[in-house]
Amino acid sequence: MTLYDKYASLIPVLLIYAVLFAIGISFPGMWQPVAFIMFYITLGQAFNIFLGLTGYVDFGYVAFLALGAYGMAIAVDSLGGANLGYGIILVGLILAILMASILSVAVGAVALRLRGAYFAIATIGVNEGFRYFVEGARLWGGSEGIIISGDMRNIFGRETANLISTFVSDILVFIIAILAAIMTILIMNRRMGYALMAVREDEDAAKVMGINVTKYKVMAFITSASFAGLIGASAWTLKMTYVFPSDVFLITYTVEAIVIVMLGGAGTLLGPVIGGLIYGILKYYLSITLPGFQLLILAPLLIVIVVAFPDGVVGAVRRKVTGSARKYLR
Amino acid sequence: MELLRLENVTKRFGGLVAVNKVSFTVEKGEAIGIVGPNGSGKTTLYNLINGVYFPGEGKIYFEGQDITELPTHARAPLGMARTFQIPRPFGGATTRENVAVGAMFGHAKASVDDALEMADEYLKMVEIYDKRDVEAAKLTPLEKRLMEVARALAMKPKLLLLDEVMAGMNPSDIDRLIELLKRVKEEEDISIVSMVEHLMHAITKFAERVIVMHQGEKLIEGPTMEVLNNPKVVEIYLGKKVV
Repeated sequence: MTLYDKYASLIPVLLIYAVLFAIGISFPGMWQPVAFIMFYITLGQAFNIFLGLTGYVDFGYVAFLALGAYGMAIAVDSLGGANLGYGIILVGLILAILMASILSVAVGAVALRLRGAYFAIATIGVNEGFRYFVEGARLWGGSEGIIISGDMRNIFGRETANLISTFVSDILVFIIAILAAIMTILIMNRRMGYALMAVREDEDAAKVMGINVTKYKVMAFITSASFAGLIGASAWTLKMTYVFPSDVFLITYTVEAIVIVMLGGAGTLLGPVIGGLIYGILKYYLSITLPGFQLLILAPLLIVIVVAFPDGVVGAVRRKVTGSARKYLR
Repeated sequence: MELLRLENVTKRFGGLVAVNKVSFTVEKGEAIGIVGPNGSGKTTLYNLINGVYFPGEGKIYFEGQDITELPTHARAPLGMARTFQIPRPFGGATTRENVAVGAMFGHAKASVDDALEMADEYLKMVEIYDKRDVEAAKLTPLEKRLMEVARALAMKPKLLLLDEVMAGMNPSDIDRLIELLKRVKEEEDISIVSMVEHLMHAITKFAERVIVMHQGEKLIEGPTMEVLNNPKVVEIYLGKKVV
């Protein structure tokens, strides 16, 4: 395989990002819908690194976004007076990665010894447990959460704080989406990608082939969780300027992420982008035309996917395509 | 030179003793056949050598190193490879990627690019190169077996464990595979242990030494023709004369 063949599948992904960005920037009123859709695409990209590449379903995934959100809030809240300027955002992002990845090591080291449904069940508890712990132990403000709008105004001034909330946070999500796509293709092209493919297809056979399955699963889990932390910090804390446990430890986001990855095509680079695009657009316009019913699309959508396209949209298209075009659909 | 040694290896599943105090050695570059009827403990024996199970009693040594409780994934890099009785391809990946995984994580420890090249080489060797871009799940049963042989050989093992690899093949395919295995064994100095239930004809052409398993125990061990003509072995396979 040439270098171009190995990385060709990045082209359609980056093209979609660019088109979305151009639409958001050029047409008045389109930035918010684009940012909304982009959140789901990025969520899918991040979750795909674990769910798609390993085939394990983590029902506690949103806990990593939540910890990322708290990481950013804690950084701004406690270092607001340190005069770091934009550096505070960087500190927040780093803390978000740290907190999400520490939780993923703890959860992964225990739960990744379990297989299939047992892993899924074990992870449901993580999210709910963590939420009640935060509320019950009155950790990080307990159920009142952390509100950083005042700190943001003090650090950046009203104008800039507004800009960060309405624009910079969305730009960060775009950047995270690009980084997640690059990370995914890097993994897929390396030994790790082949190891995870083997884990996904037949974990016992993978072990016999000499693959340290636990090591690679944990690596994918930490990577995926770190991206989730970044998303939580940017798309939630910086955008909303507050973190409440009841908003961030919400299993709905995990289910949405599963739907996006499965709909687009688990384990492919383009899949979560297509999945996020379809899901984001559907949800956005349903919330306008049929407000309150938008979450109802989840169940029928998931059933349709499982029955009609078990490999997702990209997987189904890939089957039909032969020859050199396949390299764009990895 | 001794490659693999089993000492009084025993494995129980509840009340069932699947493998009972089995001891034998495999020398470097040797071709051994393990024969025995269904349920005689052959596959369990492979799973013990491979680390899928750990024995309840006894020791297993590979090149002098005690590997009795070494995890499965740590054994392949030492130079162990196997095929499965029911082929286990990585179905969603191409045939070429399947074989490349063997080259990457086995004893060969090849880089991704080298592994993909090695995969082509071994696919040519087992004569399924034209299927290299086909999803492994879509291969015929025979092609899946050949893919597994290629995948195991690409690991560059010192010890190759074949589990009923010739079952269901027609005689000319069996002969071709035996020729191939003999050639690879000479060229790369691999010890091959091949397990069969019925294909005595194939074993006589291939194995220098035969071990007969019966009800979890090693019944007899020795030169191929001698063992297969032993009255006890004939009795196990054909039953005792009643009249």
